[in-house]
Amino acid sequence: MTGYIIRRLMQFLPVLLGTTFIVFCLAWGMPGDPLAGKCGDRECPEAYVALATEQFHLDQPLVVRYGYYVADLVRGDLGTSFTGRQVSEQLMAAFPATIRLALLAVTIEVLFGVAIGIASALRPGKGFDTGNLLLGLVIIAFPGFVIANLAQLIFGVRLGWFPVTVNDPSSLYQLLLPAIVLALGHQVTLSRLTRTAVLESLESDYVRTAHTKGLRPSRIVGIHVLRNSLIPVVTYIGKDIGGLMAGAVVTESVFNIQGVGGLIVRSIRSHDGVTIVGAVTVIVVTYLVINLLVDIAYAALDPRIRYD
Amino acid sequence: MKHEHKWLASISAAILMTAAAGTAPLLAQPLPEGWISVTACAPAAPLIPTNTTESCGSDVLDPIMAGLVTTDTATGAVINDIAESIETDDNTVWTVTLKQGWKFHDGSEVTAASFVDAWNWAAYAPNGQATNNWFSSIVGYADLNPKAADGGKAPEPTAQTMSGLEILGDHQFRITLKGPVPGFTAQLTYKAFAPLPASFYDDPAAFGRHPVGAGPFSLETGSPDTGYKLTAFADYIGAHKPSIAGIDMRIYTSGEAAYNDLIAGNLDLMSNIPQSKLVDGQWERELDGRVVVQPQASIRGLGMPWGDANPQLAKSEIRQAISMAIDRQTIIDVIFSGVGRAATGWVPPGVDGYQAGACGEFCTYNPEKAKELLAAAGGYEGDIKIFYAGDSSDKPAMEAICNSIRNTLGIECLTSALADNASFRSLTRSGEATGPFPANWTMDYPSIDNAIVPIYSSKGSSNRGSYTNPAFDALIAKADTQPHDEAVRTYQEAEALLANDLPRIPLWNPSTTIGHSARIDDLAVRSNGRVDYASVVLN
Repeated sequence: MTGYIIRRLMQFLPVLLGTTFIVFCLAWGMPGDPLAGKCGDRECPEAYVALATEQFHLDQPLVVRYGYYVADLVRGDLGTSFTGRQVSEQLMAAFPATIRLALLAVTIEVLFGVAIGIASALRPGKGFDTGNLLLGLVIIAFPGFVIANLAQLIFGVRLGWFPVTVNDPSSLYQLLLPAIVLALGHQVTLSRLTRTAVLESLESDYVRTAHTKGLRPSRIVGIHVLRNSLIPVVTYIGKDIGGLMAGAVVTESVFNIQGVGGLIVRSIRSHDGVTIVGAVTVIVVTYLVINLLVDIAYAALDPRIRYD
Repeated sequence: MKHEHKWLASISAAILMTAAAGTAPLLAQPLPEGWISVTACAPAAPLIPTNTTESCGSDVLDPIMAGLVTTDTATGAVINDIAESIETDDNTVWTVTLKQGWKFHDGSEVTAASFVDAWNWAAYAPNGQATNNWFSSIVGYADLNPKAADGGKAPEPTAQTMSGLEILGDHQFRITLKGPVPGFTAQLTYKAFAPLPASFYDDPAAFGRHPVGAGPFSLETGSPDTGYKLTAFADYIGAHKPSIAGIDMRIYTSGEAAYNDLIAGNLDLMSNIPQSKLVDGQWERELDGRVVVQPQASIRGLGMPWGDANPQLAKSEIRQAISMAIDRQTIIDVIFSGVGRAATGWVPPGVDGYQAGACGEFCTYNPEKAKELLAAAGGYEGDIKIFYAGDSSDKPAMEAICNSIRNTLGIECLTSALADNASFRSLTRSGEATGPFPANWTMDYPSIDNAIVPIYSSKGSSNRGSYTNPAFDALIAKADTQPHDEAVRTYQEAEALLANDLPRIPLWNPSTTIGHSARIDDLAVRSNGRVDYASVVLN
């Protein structure tokens, strides 16, 4: 296992270099002068343009600038953005909100998704299963921003059960409504996945053996079936956390959460290449690490999976 | 078996720990007594008055900074703030005397050096300040900004201070300008001229995160991510002493989110109500009439292609025909729900030197005359393409203008969205745009010269060679040598000249829309559209 992890970690390097290079080219290759519009309706003075050009090496070819970037990155410096702030400082400010929101959403979707999935699988085709299928279809049919806006209007503005927007992202209560909104759609997919996987396991030989052996049904489902059904579920959760770490742009915007998604959108709008590249680099690393954890989890769930 | 369970356990433990590390009090803390919460947006540059040119940063700096002069919220007139007097005989040499006893938020005193040092620092080219050229009218500016040889880098400046700034005493200094500038005191309202404390020069970057000024509010804590908390400055001795205890500036990324907070009673003050809420007076109903609409010292116009990008649109008659084909009032009513006014000239109302109808008949909707003008010019071949930035909110208005042109003149008109603001600006200033484009101007200071000189004089800092008119330049040069009142009349003559060439077609003057909570009893808005927080009165 240790050897496998080391090999995987070494694979991170080319992936990281490749993705950052692509993002770097995209971010800095955007049409238009990155300094245009930096001085309001006015044209920027020459002294300002000269300083910014030197600071961000804007007069150098893209490849040379990427070299500067990697050299800084190796030293652990993500750069200083057009806003005059360290990218690392901006990310440290944006990530906590995104991480909390992501973990809260994933917790909710796993709790409900897996429970509903098992319940549906135990009595397939019955009332609960069908009802859940229909409800799930309705939820999936609604675009995320509609659900987010509706939830904000009904539970925030009209009923006042939840704060309308999040002005303190360290408060779990404030994050609850956005997290539920985020979890809703994913919960549907997750419960359908769980249902299928559990159904499949329920029909396998070892379950019949366990039954004939006289094991309690709760133990059969809770331990044996569930564990063997979790692989597709864990894959999905891994992908989900990875995606949410990049920021849930729409939900963040509706509930005014100052997270990573908003930071990246803002940076793209203001042509702030330094921040875009820095943020994406960190997201790529996060994604890689989460996928590694998922693969390790496979081995934990299924002893037949061996990585050495 | 056991071994793998450990893996699973450690993964879940890691996830739980991350979640737990982030938990905090369940509910956010309520605002302290006497504070108000207001909308703000994340500043895009360090908060240094000489480097902040975008509106988000200016919103934060505005209550923190005080300058020599300010504008009266009721009349728009320029009035002294830190200055006791600003005197001149010839519009060239100005003697500034400061009031005694003004203090910065760090406790140090505001002296003549607080101004002179700050201006020298901002004008010094290697510091690369975005407002560097604001100081170009002062004698000695060129020494701090040596010109680069062709294609090369600019050499190091030989001087660090401008010879045109002389400290005469602790509270007095003299400014010598290169030539007469009649509207100089109005220019001084711009925040680039704000004084800076001595601590600024130790670490400008730290100052950019935590600005220190002499204004009615001091910054307590803040960052572009968490918003800004400002408290009323106890040692403030100016005329704008606030009655509220503090301002909680909250960063909102979407106007809709802020609006929902406002109507739910979680927010006290919001500027720029989303367009969708203005329709049919929805906001006035939902806010129970707690709304303020204030004309803004800003103008939206339609820029015209220049050079030989589109020879047909270079003809005055065709420009006049297009201008007269645009039904401004109907567009304002339909697209902006009636908020804003049709522009009748290039200078926004409420500005010193504003004259109604400077553009004359050419800025009024007159389809018959428009058709005649077009026919007289020999018609128009092909189509007109209006360019705009795809990430702006210009689309509906530009399409409405296109409809106006198509319906009135029978010229096929298309709109073309560029990817974003940067590519839009790159195109429009390159001179390669073959059609009209939105061209806006927000006044830096409320004086007529600021609305016309930078854009239409051939050496204007925001002109880039798009318009040259010797007669116009001659009038500007003449105004420079005149005393204030005469100069204003000369500027007005110059403004009227623009009606013939229409380098930009005036469209409309937007208004600031402000909604507030029932806690707020009264407030005043400055001509730049910013709320004067010192004027806010709570119930």
